[in-house]
Amino acid sequence: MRLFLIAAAVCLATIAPASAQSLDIFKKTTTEVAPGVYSYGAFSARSLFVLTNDGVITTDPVSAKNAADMRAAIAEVTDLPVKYVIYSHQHWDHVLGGQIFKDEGATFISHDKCIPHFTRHPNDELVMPDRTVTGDHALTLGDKTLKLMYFGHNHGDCMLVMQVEGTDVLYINDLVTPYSVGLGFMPDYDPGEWVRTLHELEARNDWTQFIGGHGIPVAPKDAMVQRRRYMEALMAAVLNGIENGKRLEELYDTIELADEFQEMRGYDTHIRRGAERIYHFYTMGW
Amino acid sequence: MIMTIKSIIVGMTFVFFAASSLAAEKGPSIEELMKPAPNPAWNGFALAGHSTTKLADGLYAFRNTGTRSIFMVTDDGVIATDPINAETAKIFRAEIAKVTDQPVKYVVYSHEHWDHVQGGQIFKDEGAQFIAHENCVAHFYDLPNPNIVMPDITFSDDYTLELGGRTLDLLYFGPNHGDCMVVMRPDPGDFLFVVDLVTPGGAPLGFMPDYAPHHYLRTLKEIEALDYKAIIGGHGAMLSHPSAVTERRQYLEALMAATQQAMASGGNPFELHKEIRVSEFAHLRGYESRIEDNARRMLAFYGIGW
Repeated sequence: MRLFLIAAAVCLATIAPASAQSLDIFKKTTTEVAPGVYSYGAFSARSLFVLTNDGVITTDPVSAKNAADMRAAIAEVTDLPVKYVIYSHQHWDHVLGGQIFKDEGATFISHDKCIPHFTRHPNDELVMPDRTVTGDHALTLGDKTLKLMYFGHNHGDCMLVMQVEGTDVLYINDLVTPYSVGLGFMPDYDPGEWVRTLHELEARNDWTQFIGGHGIPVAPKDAMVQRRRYMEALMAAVLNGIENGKRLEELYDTIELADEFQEMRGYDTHIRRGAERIYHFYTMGW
Repeated sequence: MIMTIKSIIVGMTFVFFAASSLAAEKGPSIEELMKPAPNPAWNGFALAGHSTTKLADGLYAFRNTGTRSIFMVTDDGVIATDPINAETAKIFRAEIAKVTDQPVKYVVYSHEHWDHVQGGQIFKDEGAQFIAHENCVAHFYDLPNPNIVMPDITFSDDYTLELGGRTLDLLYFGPNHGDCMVVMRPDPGDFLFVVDLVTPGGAPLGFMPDYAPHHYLRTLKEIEALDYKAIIGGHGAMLSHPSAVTERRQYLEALMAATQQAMASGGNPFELHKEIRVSEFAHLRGYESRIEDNARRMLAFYGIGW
């Protein structure tokens, strides 16, 4: 449980209250966003599960405790078994604790590129995938098809974005937490690839809302566009500073974006470290 | 996806103490060159100007502002290392020409980062071959930079470059800071040219950009096992004692242990970076301003497995 809380703190620093005593962010809810498409979890971590007439597809278990809670929440909407668990990507704050689903016979799926991360950096609480996908893949169960979509490298290199065919909802894990700026030094994000991915998502006109890997149960597409615009504004401001001869310390102290971005959650806390990350992107090529 | 890069100023800022810049024919002894300097105040600005120092027979250190490379002069030509950027490479080439008429035959990249490997065209134009660990190539394709000359020769593990009776060992330790870093060891083996893995006397930069903590720690231990007299630094002090590697390794171990302890302690997870301290290392330059970001990096390492 400690590990989960730490992982949550790492990823949630932007939206957490200044003191976490209220712990509202850990309160779990189940929200049906479209027929059979559920957003389950809390601010601290969120998963998609899909109800079909032949069983349930669920996604990131998060932790053993969360997986148990999620299993109970699924049982409240159906008696059908969980047949698949899809990992959104490789990070431990999303993929641990899936044993309860393994025990009921679910098949675990991830993108192929998660496997090296899982094998090089083992974790006892991780259930290894049974199958992997190498690109886009359509998983059909009963009356529903869940599209697994791969956009290459962005936050790690095995991220899958998901959509139940015929609905206008995406499950976008970690690439955007609605209305917040994102954790300062952008752990395991490639800034350029991340912005490219956000552009590719934005260009798809078959969705209008998304479930995130953290944050509120569901958010409009605008919230993702906001994050994309924030990233581009930050990158432009840093590049401009570099081209005008600013050193890192000076950029760190003087970075400032337009008012619309200053209103995003976490701006004051994270803008400087975000600028530092982008500074390294332009000067180191990392 | 291609980013258009205009002229970039090297921004890595580290403290330097003024090493004596002796260009005498014979050259000072290693011990003389390593005479300790008073611990300078943190001023956050790179050293100005450039300097070239003969370290041993045919072995030179070249620095422009905040970054340093080495070059070897042999009977059959010159081996240069990181060109840094176009402006620095021009000065680098001129400094080599002050020492020898020999052409530059090889340029060796220490790793893939742009603050070390831009500007090599001047060496390419005179016919030099570029050498790097093969893992650098994927990075150069993934994030193209028109100022980087692509390697001609790559290798997958350790590699020994031979020229004019001299050798330069390129030692590969796997991933650590990026995944194509080499530590260079000119013959007869007294010196290691170490770029970015050690900043002697200092705390690591903020959130430790492109360092994999567990690989970084492993690599430092492997370097500690080598037998050599001094480190030539890619930034910071020109020469440092091998104990600088040990000090960095011990700092990382203490920081990682403190992070794990803090995580197990039951404290507020959102405040842990404020609690994680390794006060026995408070003497390190930059410790006060960097410890919280160093701690954040380790919290992310243990929290998400990155």
